[in-house]
Amino acid sequence: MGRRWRAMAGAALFGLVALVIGACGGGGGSSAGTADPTADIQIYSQKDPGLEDLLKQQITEFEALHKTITVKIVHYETEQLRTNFQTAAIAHTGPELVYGPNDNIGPWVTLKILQPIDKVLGADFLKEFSNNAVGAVSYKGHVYAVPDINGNHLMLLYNKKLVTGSAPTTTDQLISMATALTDKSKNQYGIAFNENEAYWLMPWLGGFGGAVFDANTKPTLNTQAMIDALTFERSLKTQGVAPATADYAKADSLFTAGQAAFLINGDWSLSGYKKALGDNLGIAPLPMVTKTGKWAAPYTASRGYSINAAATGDALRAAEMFLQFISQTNENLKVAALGNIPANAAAANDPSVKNDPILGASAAALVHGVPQPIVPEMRAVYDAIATPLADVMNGKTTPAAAAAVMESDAISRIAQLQQ
Amino acid sequence: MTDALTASGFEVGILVLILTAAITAVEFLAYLLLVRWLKSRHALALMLLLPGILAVTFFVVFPIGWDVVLSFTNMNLYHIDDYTFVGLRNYHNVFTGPILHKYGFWEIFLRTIEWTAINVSISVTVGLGLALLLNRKLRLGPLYRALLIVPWALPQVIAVLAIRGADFDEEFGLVNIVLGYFHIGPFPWRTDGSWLFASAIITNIWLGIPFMMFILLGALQSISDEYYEAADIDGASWWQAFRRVTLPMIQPVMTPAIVLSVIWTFNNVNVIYLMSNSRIPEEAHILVTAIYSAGFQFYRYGFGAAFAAVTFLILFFFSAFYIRVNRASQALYE
Repeated sequence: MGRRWRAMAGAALFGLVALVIGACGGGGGSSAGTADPTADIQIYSQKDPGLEDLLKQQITEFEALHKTITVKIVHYETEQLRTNFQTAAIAHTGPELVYGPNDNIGPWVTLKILQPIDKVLGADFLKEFSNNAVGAVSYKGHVYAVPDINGNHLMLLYNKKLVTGSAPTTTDQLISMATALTDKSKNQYGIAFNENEAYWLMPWLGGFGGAVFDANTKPTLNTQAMIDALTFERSLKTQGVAPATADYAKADSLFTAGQAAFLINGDWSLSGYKKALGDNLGIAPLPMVTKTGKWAAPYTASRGYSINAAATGDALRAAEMFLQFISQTNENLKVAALGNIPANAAAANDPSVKNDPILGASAAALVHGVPQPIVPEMRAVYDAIATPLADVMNGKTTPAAAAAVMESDAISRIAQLQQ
Repeated sequence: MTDALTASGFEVGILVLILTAAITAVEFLAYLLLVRWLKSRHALALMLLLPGILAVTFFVVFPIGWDVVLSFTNMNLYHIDDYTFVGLRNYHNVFTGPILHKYGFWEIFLRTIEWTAINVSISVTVGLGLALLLNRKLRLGPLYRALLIVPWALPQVIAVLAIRGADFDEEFGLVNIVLGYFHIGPFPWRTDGSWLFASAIITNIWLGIPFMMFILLGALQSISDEYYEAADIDGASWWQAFRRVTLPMIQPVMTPAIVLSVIWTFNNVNVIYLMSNSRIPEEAHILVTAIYSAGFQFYRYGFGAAFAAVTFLILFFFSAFYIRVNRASQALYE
């Protein structure tokens, strides 16, 4: 018995020693003596395929320059990225970097899971970016993301094969052109858009003169502007120019297949449509609302990389180096080449950007936008809008009743966030 | 691609090594404690059980305990690291206030029972029917089996997303098109909460039938023909043979399959979440999806933890009841 136990203990010790030796051997490849930290860092990203392919190429270049650092991308759809990152970061773990639109910054700063960029990389580093791109990722006096794309705005895309003249500049023109281009026998629609998302309603709310918050961040959803915006969005469906139902994927596939003349979508989708439609892709600002004489006002934002509060030591240094690399003018110009307005100021002023017809059109659409609020209360507002919006689109409720429900829901949801 | 595979292989290798080292170290300490110091007679048994005990402690006991602790706090968006204990307030809110916005606990609980009862009863009935058919000597029997397992063999995410787009689109979906031939509908499967709930039930039934069918087919195939021959000699009809021979003989397999199916269905977040494209309308929420929304979409961690603890207790008592019933039914056959 005693011998058997001694043998087991000996085997266990041997295993431990072997492991220690093995672990030392594994670390032998590190480049001791160089200034670069040795670290594996991770990025949670929700980039579209075109932009994510570019990011992979940029990572390869970065890793070639810094051989002791590896960077891995973990891709998530936007909503999953939000929940997965915050769950991990609250537990002081997760990726060093997270990439996405700026609307998560408010809640994430409140949750204390982001590091201020101005403290980590210094205020001078931020001078390289456009003021509005940095402004969009600033919250409570600090900057919480390194922006790479300025915009994130919805615009009116059209298929020049179907739309032969110039793009409409008023909502009346849009409806009459869309009506003429609708042919139900061919399943062809005048216009397609994501009918389920509040983000697609916001331009019309602005165009009818409304906003979601007052100056004190109190919801202002039960307004005539909201009723008008809902009535307008529903009218596109009741007039038969838009599909009876359409989410993002359906609107996207109808447009790509040439079965929708107009599409409302954001700058993130331009590289894909450029590939699919080539020179037939037309881009215009969302039109002016005929009733008010105001341009539809899409939300504008910037997208960029934020640093997890849990990132420390070599991993944090490696993440900083990656952010400095990815923010260089030449790297940001590659992002611009895929149809995005660059956040780097020098890249934005580069002739290749200034003279690019797609970027020029996208920038023209951006002019009418309004910054998306990034306060945590915005989430409650989006959620409060979702169901009444669907009910209006289904004809289950009237725009006036829906607007009233939205406001009372938003107020109680904001109160719930405090519980 | 090869690099990525090599890298992930390397990572898995490192993880296995670390786990092996940790277990070796723990076993070594246990050896010193139990054999050298305490000289326990049960040392070997305890050492063999130790990795399992540790795994259950870390992955089951600790998370449940932590959930219970959080359920007594006000941890939320604004109190993520400075939360305080609030006593039973969250439990009070679970039973008295709305869980998300419109519906209270009991309404969502009833909807969860409806979801579970419809899904499980139809999956069992249809699964048993198909298993009885496949248990006969059929031409092309293996082909039918292969076709019927497809819903189960497909990754759930892909299956649900495909169904959502292809079958339940209001205009182009197969369901509304077929119903249209009979002048029924169209129904707003994707945009109305109640219809979305119905579409999620249909999808989950489709996904659940193959599991039941294959489990029950296995049970049917294990019944000796002698029982049926004896029933035949006694002049039993098909129905009598089914009731008196088939059902009792497959019951030891069917009972745990049904209970497992109840627990899985009760806890199924995926289907409703994916069918609603992550924005679940309140009319389509069941308990677990509401927990997910309260906790992870609205940052109400303390409340979500209390809600999860209540749901856990419901399933705990159901499982305890099942284990009792199952022991009783086992005793019947022993």
